This record gives sequence, structure tokens and C-alpha cells, in this order.
Amino acid sequence: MAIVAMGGEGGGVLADWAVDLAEHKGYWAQATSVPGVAQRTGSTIYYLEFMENDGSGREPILSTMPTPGEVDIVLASELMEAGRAVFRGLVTPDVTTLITSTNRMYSMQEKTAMGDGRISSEEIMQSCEAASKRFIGEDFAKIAEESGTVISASLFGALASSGALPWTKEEFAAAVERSGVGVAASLKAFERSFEIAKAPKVAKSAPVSIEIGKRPEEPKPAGLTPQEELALINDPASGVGPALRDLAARVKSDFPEPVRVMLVHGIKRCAEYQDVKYASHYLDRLNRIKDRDEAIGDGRYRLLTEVARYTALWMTYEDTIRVADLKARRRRFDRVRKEAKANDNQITQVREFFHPGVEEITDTLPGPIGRAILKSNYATRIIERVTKDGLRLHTTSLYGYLLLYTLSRLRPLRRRSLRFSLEQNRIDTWLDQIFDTANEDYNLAVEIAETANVIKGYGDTHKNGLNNFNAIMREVNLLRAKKDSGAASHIASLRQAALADESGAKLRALLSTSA
Amino acid sequence: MTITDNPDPMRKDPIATILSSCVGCGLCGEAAHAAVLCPSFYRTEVISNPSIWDKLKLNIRKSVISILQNGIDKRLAKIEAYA
Repeated sequence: MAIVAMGGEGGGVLADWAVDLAEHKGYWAQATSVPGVAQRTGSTIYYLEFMENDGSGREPILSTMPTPGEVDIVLASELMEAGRAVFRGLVTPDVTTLITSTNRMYSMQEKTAMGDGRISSEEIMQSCEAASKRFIGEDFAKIAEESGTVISASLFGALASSGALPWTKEEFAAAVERSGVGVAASLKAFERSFEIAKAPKVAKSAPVSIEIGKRPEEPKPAGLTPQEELALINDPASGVGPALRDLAARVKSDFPEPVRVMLVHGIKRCAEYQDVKYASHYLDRLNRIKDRDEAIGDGRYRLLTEVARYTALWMTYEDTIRVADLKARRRRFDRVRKEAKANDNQITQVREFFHPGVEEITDTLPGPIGRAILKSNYATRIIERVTKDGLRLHTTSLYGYLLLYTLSRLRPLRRRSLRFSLEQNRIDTWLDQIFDTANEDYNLAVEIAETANVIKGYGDTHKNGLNNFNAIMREVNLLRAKKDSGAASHIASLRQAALADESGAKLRALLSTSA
Repeated sequence: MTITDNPDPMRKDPIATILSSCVGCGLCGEAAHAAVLCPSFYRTEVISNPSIWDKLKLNIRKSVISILQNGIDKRLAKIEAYA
């Protein structure tokens, strides 16, 4: 039996319970381990071998390493670890029972991707199921957390339930009790996992579907249920406050059903960011795209949906005023207090980390003043020296909160600020390009809309994103001039390259080959 | 620190989040602060057994901050619908 886990998950305890159980039943038992450190950097493997005692008094020689093709049981504490066990050949369809938790601890590669680099759990599940004789996959980590213990207890319960070892549930539980540490919580997780892992022993039929055990639930994407979405489509006004009633009516009368949910989100976002007039301007911008999509699209309104999304996101670019507004809200104070688990007799104080640079400051100032400061070396250097170490603001104090609140109330200044005019010009240029391209190549127009996703973040991240965006737009113009039919997929791959790394090296490599 | 689904209905990419196993070392915040990456980081301090002076400060702060926050909520109520 191989137990693959990560550091700090109780893999050692699980191995000890198993060995204790086996020896109690009169078996020879041996366990070896390769320990790790906490989190993703430290995968551990425990390898156990049990052999029935034939009473002759001779000690068997047991292996210290798992041999691919001869491992009867693999317990995995996380889905990617299970995948690795499959990859290493420890899981084979003729002998192996694979019991794994379906939760994911994301790898560094998945976490550092600038877009969505998460590997699909579906694929891992499918290969686990195909490679094993018997597969049990449930979210044992959640069961453990809810029971107040670590995952070793739930995996032990699943092991008991699988019947892969010839011992009763009571005998398994007894081993946990004998260990004497955290018994109550461990037994709770043990019981629950035992029940959930129980399933009729079904022979594997179609290769893709998972039939043993309850289908694990992928975390639901944050957003609305289908019923809520339908309600919004039929009555957009139900999703907005009184100030946006007229605009909601406009969403219903002027725009097709597939886009209405996105538009309701969009007008709320723009109104919250600036004012109702801004939200109205948002809808104005989308009108011609809607006409174009209506005329030449296939009725799914892919182009209009993505343009609606990215226009709203771009129009509500994150600046100091917005950040201050979000941090000043009561609901945020409540959330922070709840996360800190403070009880009624405790006081929470919050210190926010701000790091305004020269650009963040000139962005919020009126255009002429901002430009003047940027042009003046002297002014720029003074501001840089003052803001060098950033600001740690005690926002639950009077001084700190008043500062935050004042910043958030600078909203009326935004329209006259330097960055506002810059961004509006960029948005309009981008929309012009989409409008013009839609006639020639609908898919390319959708890709241009999606490319707005490379502009994100603050400071240098934002600057690099904007540079990448401009580079991709230049490429678009080249492709349009050449009337290249593969343009859309080429731009899509350029976009993936831009989001692949911080330095933009991958994007640059792709660009130079196509010019 | 890991990633999770984006709570923003208009965005598709995952966001960073801190797991419950966080020990509060503050390194992720310091790094993000130094590199000007993200203004979302904050440090929470919990005061147990507050003194009379602490409680007085809290009351003054709460009364002023509450009034201002009411104003913010009033503005938001005009825009959002609370289902």
C-alpha cells in the first residue's frame, strides 16, 4: 500500500494506524517513508507492506519501495498527487484500488500563470479512473476540515469502507482509538468518509464516466444560478437599484437576451464606479457593436457579450479612488472582522498597505497638472522619494479612515483626471477596431475583444500589460492588411503567450516570427 | 497562498486567496507591497481584554466611521438591488 500525500497532512499518522491495525491482526507489517515539507513543495510517500504470519517464526523480507504493477492500494490526499501516482505507474488496472481526495492544491505553475492556468480536474479524474482497478474519489479534505481534523482520518475511513483490506470497520476504528491522539475528531471524519465511500461494487463500464461513489462537486463558479439569470433576462430592473431603473429598461428594450445578464452587471459596475451617466455612456458605446452583431452574427452574440464584458472592465479601471472606496465600505470592515474571528469582547484594528507611485498620483490629478508633474524631473523625484516605502495606513483609526474616505469622495474629480481621458481614448480606439474588423472577420473581432484581458494590475504590471496589448494590436493590423484567414487563432495564441509570463518574452518570440 | 475562482461575475481568471492554514507571517503582504503588486493586502490586529482607553477610542471611532459608512451604503443602495 502506498500513501501519497503532502507534508503536514498526517501521512505518518495514517501509516502508523495501518501498521498498528495489521500487527494487531497478527500480520507482519513494515512501513517506510520519504518525508516532505509543508504545502506543494513537499510531497511525501509512505510505503507499507503487510504479510500474513504463517506462524513458522521466520521473518519475511519486505520491500522498502513500491514496485509499479504490484501495488494493491494507493491512498492519495490530493488529486494531483493521485495523478502523479498514476504517472509513476503505481496504479495499475489489474490490481490497484485507488482512493483519493478530489481537492486540489494548486502547483506553482498554476498559481503563477497570469491568466487561468489551472489544470482541469476532470482530466486527472479520468486518467485515475482508467488506470485503476477500483477508484474512489471524494472530497475527503472537506470532510476532514468540517470534522476538525486532518485528512489522514478521512482517508482511513475510506480505506475501511473500500474493503481492500480484509478487516472490519470496528477493527479500523479501534486502531484510531489506540493511538490516543485527537481521537474524537478523527473518528468523526472516519465515520463520515466510511459512509460516503461506500458504494455498490460496480464493474467499470464506459471508460469516461465515474460510477463509484458520489460524483465530486466542482466548486460552483461565483455568480448567479440559472434561475437567477433567467429572472434578470426577463426583468433586468429586478437586479438594479432605483437609480438604474431607466437604464435597465433600456437593456431590456434595446439589447438581445443572451447579453442582458452581462449588461446588468456592466451598468451596475459603471454606476458604482462613477455615476449613472457613465453607465449610460457604457450602453451608448455598445449600441453599434450590437447592431453589427445582429446583422452578421449567428444569433449567439459572442462578440457583443465579450465586448460588453471587457468594455465594462476597462471603463472601471482600478485607480486610487476606487481602491479607497472599496476599502472604506462597512461590508469590508465586517468581512475582515469575521475573518479574524474576533468575538464581542475583542477589538479589531486594520492596517492597509498602500503604495502609490508617481503615476498613481498624477493619474488622479487633473490632466494639465498631472502632465506637468510627469514632465518635471524635480517634481517626479520628490514624489518618488516620499512614496518610496509605501504607506501603512491604520484605517480603523479616525485619521486613517478620514483619509480613506476623502480619497473615495474624489470621484467627481476623476472625469477631469489625466488617466481618465487616456483610458477613454484607448477604449474608443479599441472599439473602433472591433467595429471595423467585425465585417471582415467576426472571429478576429472577438479575439480583439478578448485581448483586452492582457491589460490588468497596477504599476509595472499594468504598464507591461498595455505594451503587450499594443504589440498584439499592431499584429492585428498586419494580419488584416494581409487578409490572413488564420488571424483569429493566431491572435489567440499571442494572447496566451502574453499571459504566460511576466517579462513578455514568450510574446516577443512569437511576434518576431510572424512579422 | 493559493488561487480560487473569481467572485467578480464579469471576470474569468482566478484570484489569489489565503488558506485557513495561514500562520500570518506577513511575507506575502510584504512582497506584494514592495513590488507594488496589489493593494488588497492588510494586516489585522485583534486586541483582547481592551483597556478603558481602548474602548473609549473604539467608541469615538465607531460613531464617526458609522456615520460616514451610512453615507456610502445609501449611495450603493440606489445602484444595487438587495435580493
